[in-house]
Amino acid sequence: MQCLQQAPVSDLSVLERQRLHFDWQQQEQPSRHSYDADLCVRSLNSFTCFSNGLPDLAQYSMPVASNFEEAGVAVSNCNPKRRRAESSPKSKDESNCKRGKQETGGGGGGRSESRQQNNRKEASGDTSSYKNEEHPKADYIHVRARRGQATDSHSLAERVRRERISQRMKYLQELVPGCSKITGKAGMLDEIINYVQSLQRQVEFLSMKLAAVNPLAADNNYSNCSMGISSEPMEQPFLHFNSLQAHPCSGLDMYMDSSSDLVPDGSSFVSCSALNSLYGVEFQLGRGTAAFPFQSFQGNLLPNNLKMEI
Amino acid sequence: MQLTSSFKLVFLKQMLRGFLLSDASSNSMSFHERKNAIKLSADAAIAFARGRTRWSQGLITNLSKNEKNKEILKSLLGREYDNLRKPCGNSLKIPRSKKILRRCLRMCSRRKKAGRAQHICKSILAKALAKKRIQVLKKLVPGGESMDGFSLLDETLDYAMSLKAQVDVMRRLLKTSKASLNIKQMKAWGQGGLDFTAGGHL
Repeated sequence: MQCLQQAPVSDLSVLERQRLHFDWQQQEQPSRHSYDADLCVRSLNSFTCFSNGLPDLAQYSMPVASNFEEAGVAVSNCNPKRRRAESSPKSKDESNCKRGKQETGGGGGGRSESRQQNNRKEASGDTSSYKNEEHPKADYIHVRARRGQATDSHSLAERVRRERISQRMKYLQELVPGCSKITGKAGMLDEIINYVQSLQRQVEFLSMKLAAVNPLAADNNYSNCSMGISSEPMEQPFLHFNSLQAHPCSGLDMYMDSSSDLVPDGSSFVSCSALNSLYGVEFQLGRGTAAFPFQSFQGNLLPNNLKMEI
Repeated sequence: MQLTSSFKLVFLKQMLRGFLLSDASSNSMSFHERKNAIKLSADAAIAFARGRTRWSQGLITNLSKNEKNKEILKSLLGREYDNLRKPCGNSLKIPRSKKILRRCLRMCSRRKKAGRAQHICKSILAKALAKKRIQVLKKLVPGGESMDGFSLLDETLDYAMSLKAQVDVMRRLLKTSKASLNIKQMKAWGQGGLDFTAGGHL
């Protein structure tokens, strides 16, 4: 209560006022809301407005919007107290409050609104919050208090769910190439679907190509390779890998990997002409295309191979 | 995180074993049969290499539906076959009930659409769009029918990474096969220079 009364007096920014408010909140309510506070402050900093709460997986809500809701929730419990404390605000504030209420009511009815509309309303809510800077922080919170979420446990679970979803979306964004710009959930899902489909098609295509190449290529290759791999203890190829990877090769290119794939085979079948040609092929491939990384790697590769052969 | 060389090596090994077992290298099979055999080996190998995940189990289950493939899979995977062939008993039940739910929701949303304001309609539309995409994703990821939102995203991530590794290894295998074929042809045509280059460094 004290910090609230102090807030209108001092020249705090909205952010700091909110922080104070949430600190005060913490004393009354369980610590889980402190998480809200941090995120809310950060969210106000970041100014990203996304839709909050379509109740399903169908929503992609950034922590920002959820924190606006949670701010409302956190505050709603203390509403009666704040109203009493604000018995002195002027009519102007009240009208602002009402306006703000409508806006947050509209913005909070985000459960039922489209993303774009919600963005606009959130943005306007932001601007209104900054217009009301002179007004007591309590007013600002009071405005947002009119959210009307069901219960705390519900909102908590919702928030946790949304966090998980957004985290996974982030991972997927990193995985799928060219997805860093897309921020909407539906768009991301689209990209993911396209990516998985394209990968599956590539597998089909490659298996087709292998089928075309396979009977013509040395049939010995596969039988020798697989025989070698199954008869040899697995440690040997792995040792090879370790020694190869320990070398400071410039750029983990596919050439290095492809060589490392075949080297175990080559090492176990020195006499196999097919595999020797395969190894020679690898060298040739590297020679023909990328000059420097492969050649530098080749220098490292040879001593290992020699050791194995001995 | 899991796209290590050892993972790829395990995959390659299994795939080559699969080629042998399914006799893919012989000339006795037609093109399509060979392609299917290769694909089967590749899929089984990637599921084996990845270990026990929802999608790998779903994949093996889907592959086992064909009786012919079952034998190959059994001999290829050995012990792992039973581990991977998880009995997804509930997978049938869930889609059925979901169909009914979806129908109800569609009816309700249609009625609601007519009644409420426009902005509410848009949200339902957005919901429906996202739901559609999730359905598509469920069909794409093997064994995805019986998963809920979170695990579906997880499995998609995992599956996409494994697919990437699969594509990578297969592409390299193809490249080396082709190259070895070219080498053989060139040798046959008697180009001694290449032999010298290849042999000189070995």
